[in-house]
Amino acid sequence: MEVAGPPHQALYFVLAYLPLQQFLQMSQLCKSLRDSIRDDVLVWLNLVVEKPLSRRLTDRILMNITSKAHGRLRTLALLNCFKITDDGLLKVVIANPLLTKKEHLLILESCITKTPENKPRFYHKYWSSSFRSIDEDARMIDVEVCPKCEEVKLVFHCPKETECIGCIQCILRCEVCGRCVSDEDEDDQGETICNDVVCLDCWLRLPKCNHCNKPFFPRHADEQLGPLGSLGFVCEVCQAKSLTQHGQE
Amino acid sequence: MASTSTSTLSRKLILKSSDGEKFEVDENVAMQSQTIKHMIEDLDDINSPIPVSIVTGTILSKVIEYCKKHATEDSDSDEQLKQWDKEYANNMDLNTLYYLLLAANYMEIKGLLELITQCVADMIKGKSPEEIRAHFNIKNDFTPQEEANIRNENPWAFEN
Repeated sequence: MEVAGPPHQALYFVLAYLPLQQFLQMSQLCKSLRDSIRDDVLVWLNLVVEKPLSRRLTDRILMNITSKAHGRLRTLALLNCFKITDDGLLKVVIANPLLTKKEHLLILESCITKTPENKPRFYHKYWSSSFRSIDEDARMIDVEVCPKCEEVKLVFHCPKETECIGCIQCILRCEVCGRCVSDEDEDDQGETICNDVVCLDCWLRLPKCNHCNKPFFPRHADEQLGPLGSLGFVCEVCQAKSLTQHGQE
Repeated sequence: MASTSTSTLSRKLILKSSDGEKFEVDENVAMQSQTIKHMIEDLDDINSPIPVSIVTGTILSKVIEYCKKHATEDSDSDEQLKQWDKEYANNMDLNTLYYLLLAANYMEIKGLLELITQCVADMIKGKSPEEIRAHFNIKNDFTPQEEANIRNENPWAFEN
């Protein structure tokens, strides 16, 4: 067996992955680990307090351990830490401007004891539902963490593929049917007047401008156009163009 | 960034370890490493070997094994892949885990880095300081007084 020596440098990477209690205990092993845990800001950036430490955590201790991140705390999850007051939490949040919405969401979720089971939300239905009433959506928290970018966003499901879940920035969706549309494959979407995204199937079905052959959106119909006659319509862009042309003549 | 999946599949890259060993890999396998991905973006000639300067051949071959598995993940279910990861990590001795961890960090392979750090973290969990020192061969360089002080530093975390 080798002679015992200082910890291998790889071990320092592991510190941030340890539960808080085990992490604090590592400072008892040797001087270099103690120094890292005491002075290294990087190992303190993501703080999760869970059982068995939750019930022991007070505002004062929270202030103390979060101060080790020197205002750079990125994650704070306090699971069932019932001694923490709103004021205590607020102080930490103010002192750590990098705490992003995602962590606030974690805190929120840990405070709300019962979250109703989320049913899938579809992009096209979400926007057309009469102003997204709580009843319709049945969610306490409107946003969730997008599985793709891990940001807090409105997250949508795909009506076609069950595994296709993500925010609209990660997964482009058709405005009409809500299915995912390939961002790279231009043939997968049709060109529209208002530059909104429509899948090819829906594009084919939509009524189109007599001049430029681009469809208009049901959602924008009231804003832009009068009722459709059997002769079809001319879109605003083409109307404006023909007006300027007449003007020039 | 206009490359399509069909063209990347056919390209081969050569990775060269710190001790000069060369490995030919599919580009999509090597691209699991963010570091290599950025390196090839700046490279004029992809036929010349790409140096992975701090990683030895022994470790690099294990990194490639992981990347190959994860480049073709759609053939396995998530469950199967997790099982594969577990067996992969469990087959390594501690020294290999250390260097694999450093390699994954250097090569920016997020999945591998998380797998190995979690594996080492699991070895630490539930052990007393004495047991951890023995497992990881760490010398206790505290004086008895220092050791007593440090134990009193976070009493809230350790009292029962």
